Amino acid sequence: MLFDLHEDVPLPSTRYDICIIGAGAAGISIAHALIGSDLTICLLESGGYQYEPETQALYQGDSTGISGADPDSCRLRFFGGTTNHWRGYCAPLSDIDFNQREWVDKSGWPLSRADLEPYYEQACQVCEIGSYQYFQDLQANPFSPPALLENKLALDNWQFSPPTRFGVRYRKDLEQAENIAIYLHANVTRIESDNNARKIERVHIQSLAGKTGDVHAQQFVLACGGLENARLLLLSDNIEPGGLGNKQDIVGRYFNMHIENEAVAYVISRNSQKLNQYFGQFQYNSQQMMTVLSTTGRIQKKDKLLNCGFSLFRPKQLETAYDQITAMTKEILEEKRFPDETAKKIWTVLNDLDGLGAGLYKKLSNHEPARTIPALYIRAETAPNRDSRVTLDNKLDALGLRKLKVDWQLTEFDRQSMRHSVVRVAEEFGRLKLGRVQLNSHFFNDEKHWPDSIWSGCHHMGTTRMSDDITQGVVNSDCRVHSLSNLFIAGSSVFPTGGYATPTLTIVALALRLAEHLKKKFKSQVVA
Amino acid sequence: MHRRKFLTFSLLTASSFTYATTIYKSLPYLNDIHVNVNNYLVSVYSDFENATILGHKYLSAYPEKLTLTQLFSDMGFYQKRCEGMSRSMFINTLIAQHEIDFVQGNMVTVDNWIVTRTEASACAFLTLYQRSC
Repeated sequence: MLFDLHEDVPLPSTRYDICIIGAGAAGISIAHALIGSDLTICLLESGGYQYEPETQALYQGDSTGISGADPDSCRLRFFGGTTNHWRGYCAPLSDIDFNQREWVDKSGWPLSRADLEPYYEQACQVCEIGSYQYFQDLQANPFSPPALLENKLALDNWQFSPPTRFGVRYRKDLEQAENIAIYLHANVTRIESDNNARKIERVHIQSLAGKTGDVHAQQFVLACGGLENARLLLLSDNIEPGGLGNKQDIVGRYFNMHIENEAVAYVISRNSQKLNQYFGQFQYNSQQMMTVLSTTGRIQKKDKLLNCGFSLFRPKQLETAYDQITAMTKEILEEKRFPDETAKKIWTVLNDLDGLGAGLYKKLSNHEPARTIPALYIRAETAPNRDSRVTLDNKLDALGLRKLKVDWQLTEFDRQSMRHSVVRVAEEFGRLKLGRVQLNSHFFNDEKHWPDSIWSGCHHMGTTRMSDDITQGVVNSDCRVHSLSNLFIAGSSVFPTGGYATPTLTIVALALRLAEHLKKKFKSQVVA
Repeated sequence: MHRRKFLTFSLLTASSFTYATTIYKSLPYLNDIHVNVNNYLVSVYSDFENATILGHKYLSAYPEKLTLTQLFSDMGFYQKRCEGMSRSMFINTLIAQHEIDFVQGNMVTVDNWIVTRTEASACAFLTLYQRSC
């Protein structure tokens, strides 16, 4: 059932079994997993089915730390959430990511990879990846990459979602489900607990058109993403002054993102074609896969490193004289006129005879000459850092709610860990005579600043971190807020550490695990 | 004035001669070694000029390595060990040491290039040798 608060529809009046706040990857996965169950579900979404600038503006906020953390830059606030523009790269976290590592303060999940393994398999179906084939198997790559030293690097296989646009893919199933009510344009402005802040009683909703109401449910799931989950808890401060679930002052802290950069180092190689084959994309069992180099647990432990992965990146080729002359000829022949700035273009061609030759060679021999330098694309884990945090600003959004202020902080440990990991790749590339590696000076020459070109992958994590110790985390291993009996959190905000893998597969796996937990919880209540 | 210039010139010539003699005494096969290092670097670098640039930068970054003896030792050699070594054996030893460096993680960063200690020392050795000649 679908209700759009921008139209003349009744406000939710029944008491639902479960209220899910947010229809992104996590929220939709949970709702979809509960289709056909005995449970009544209310799925609240701030936006509609399409992008709307006024709804998107509710995500605006300030970024005061390292660049790359602007809260409005990569999230999407409509049905399907940020999956409406994700790229579909999928990989589970590594075993070591779940471990408590003595060299990484505040590391360790209260779960193991084995606990999540069955849900990863299901998540592959939800993300339309196909069968679950995440194993370290050199045979998967038809070009047979050389064996790496086990105490240094490993080859991980990554898989690809089409990418699944969750909102588009699962919309019909959810609309047709009898036990699910979808409310669009329903912004949750406050989560209201009982007087002891032990139990959530209702959430207050408001549309941008001014329609307001309350949603009552037995269980609540907050699934608004890595930043907004923390914001909603911090905003709900009428009973607990620091915000719900925030007695330990952890909500919003340990804000964590990956460091991603397409050229953390350059690879000079006489075998660049082989490099591309070994560490590029390939087909396996009719599925698209990619080989990613990663530092092994052994070397991470020995050298006290964070987790880190690398793939090869070939920068887009610059327009050469050949491209210019082709475009000019086409214009002259087809449009019967000389192009604008003809003299300037001829001068460019005369100055790039190499490019002209390379282009002609490519055309005549149907062979791609190596004209660009391959670079190492890094995906690096960053260490949990209490000072890296999101807080509430004094500026208000269109709903009168305080906006977010994001202060992403990195440490020298993060930089040195990246540097040492690149060196391990350089050692292996050198040993295997695949090429020699030069560090990108932007990252490593200035030890006081991080370059503006740094990118976070838009993977917001850690703001409601998971720990079985109430003093170290906001939620427990069931993703339930420690201090509240019926509020659960889904999404990457619960990740205590983020590994180097993209988070979506883990978000979906945790969501499916939470859906199963909720089902069991209700079942046990019925039995009782 | 002329006399002073003459004295300075004589002093400089004498010092250079003494320095070169000292080097030759400490490393009796220096010329041979230089040729061998040269050959080894040709096998590693397609463009030999890069080797000298790298050597120059390594010496600038690590001024404490500014002696041939030190660099020779960093390449994994001791004077006695290489006495009587054939040219090919010398080069093979260097290549083997270079490969061991990759395995053992015996790397240095010079001008952001991540290189083995052996090759960096060899480049610096060559550069320093050329300077002293």
